[in-house]
Amino acid sequence: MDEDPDTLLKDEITPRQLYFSRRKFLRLSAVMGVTAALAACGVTPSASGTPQPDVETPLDTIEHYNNFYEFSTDKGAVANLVSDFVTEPWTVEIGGLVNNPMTITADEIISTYTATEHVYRMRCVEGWSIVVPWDGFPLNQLLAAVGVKPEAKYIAFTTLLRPTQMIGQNDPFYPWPYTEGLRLDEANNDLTLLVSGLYGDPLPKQDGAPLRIVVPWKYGFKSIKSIVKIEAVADQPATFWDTIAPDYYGFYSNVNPDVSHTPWSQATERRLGELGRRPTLLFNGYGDQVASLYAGMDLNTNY
Amino acid sequence: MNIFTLRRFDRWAVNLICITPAIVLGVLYVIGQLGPDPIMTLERRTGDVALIFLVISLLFTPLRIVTGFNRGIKYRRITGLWSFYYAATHFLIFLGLDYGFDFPLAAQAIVQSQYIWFGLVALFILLTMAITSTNGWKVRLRKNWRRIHRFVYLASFLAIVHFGLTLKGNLLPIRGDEFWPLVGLIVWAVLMLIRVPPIRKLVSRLK
Repeated sequence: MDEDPDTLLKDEITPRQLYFSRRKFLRLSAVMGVTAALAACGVTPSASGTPQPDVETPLDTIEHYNNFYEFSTDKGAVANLVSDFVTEPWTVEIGGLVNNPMTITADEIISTYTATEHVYRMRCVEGWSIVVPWDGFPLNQLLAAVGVKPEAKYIAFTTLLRPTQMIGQNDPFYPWPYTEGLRLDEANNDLTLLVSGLYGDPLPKQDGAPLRIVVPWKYGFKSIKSIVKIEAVADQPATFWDTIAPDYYGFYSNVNPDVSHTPWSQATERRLGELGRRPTLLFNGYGDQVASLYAGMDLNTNY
Repeated sequence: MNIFTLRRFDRWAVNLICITPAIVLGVLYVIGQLGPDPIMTLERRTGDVALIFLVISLLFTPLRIVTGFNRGIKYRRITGLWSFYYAATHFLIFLGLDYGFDFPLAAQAIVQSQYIWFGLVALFILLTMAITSTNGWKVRLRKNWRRIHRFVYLASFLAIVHFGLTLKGNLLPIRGDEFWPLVGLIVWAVLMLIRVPPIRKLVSRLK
């Protein structure tokens, strides 16, 4: 556990044993609760009130609920489809407007930089969220090593394109390969991680092995998986979802309960494993660390 | 077995088939086998079933036009009613399980979510049709009964758009996760076209 103020503290987190017994209790009360609620038309768990504590999401959930369209649009099916996905050897090309472009293996990155545990909330644009103990290091360490040139304003990321193993990439309705991007100052923020593991083990393939980005104050789709290319560029790069539906998925895609830029509301979310809804927090609750990046910007138009 | 019991038997069989998804979903929910987000799974699956039954209820008229098979018509009402039951359950799960009957919160979600608007209009049409589905109402409403029940063409279209908007993609142009809504729209268009009088006559003459 590192000393970062940005990560959740261990003692704030409910022990697993207690968590599971609570889950069982919640499920039981759900069955009874529906009947009671129907009878009374009363009010059950509300999304308002005091903030609820964050609990690490069980590994089993993290491994079996994956938005990884390279394999399937069915979140429950991805775990079974990654078995033939080969992630070794793996090379990452780091280039564009940098002083020392390099092609480096995932193993070299993992052995060169010290990964520490960062417990982050992850909020999906679909309206659910989880809490994940990632193992990674700030991306800015890698960017410093390659020396980003002053004319670079953005960092662009690309996922592997290998339709023989990533069978979802045969779907013609998507602009493969998956691409994402961050403004340089966003990429340099200490919260932005290059992640190689979770729960102390190497990343499961369905969670973006061997290397992925995690940007906790943005909707999950910004946290690109299985990266093969990192480029420093001058202009705002095209991104996968922004190409598909620019009205819905903007370049910034910061978590924001007040902007329903998708056809659905973003005001609340369901934490997987919980019954009721939680209020969604601006910048996913990381405003202290990142709100200054957007000072003076209209978040309604720059969604 | 005489004609009477045979007819009753097939009614029961259809009802049994139609209630099966509800039983399966209910059991899977209670034993905790609907995945990490069981409420969303319930919402999605009840919506799927409602839409599938709605499309099935629209199949019997074209079937009669194309093949002359007449006896399917009596299943229009049963399958349409089951579509309404599933759509109503779908909405109640949203309101009760998902939003815990927190009406202000649910109202906010409805106002902010375009996809729900399409679903609610479709549900209102299905509700009106369900209430007026009895023979009594049919007699009472005379010509207006047909007019009201023709709104099912609109309801089915809205339901497909509602479905398409819940997926991550873009309906126009079709991009992203919109394969099944696209299939739905094509099936819907074919089922509508066969009903257009000139085409209807042409198809009837061909057979």
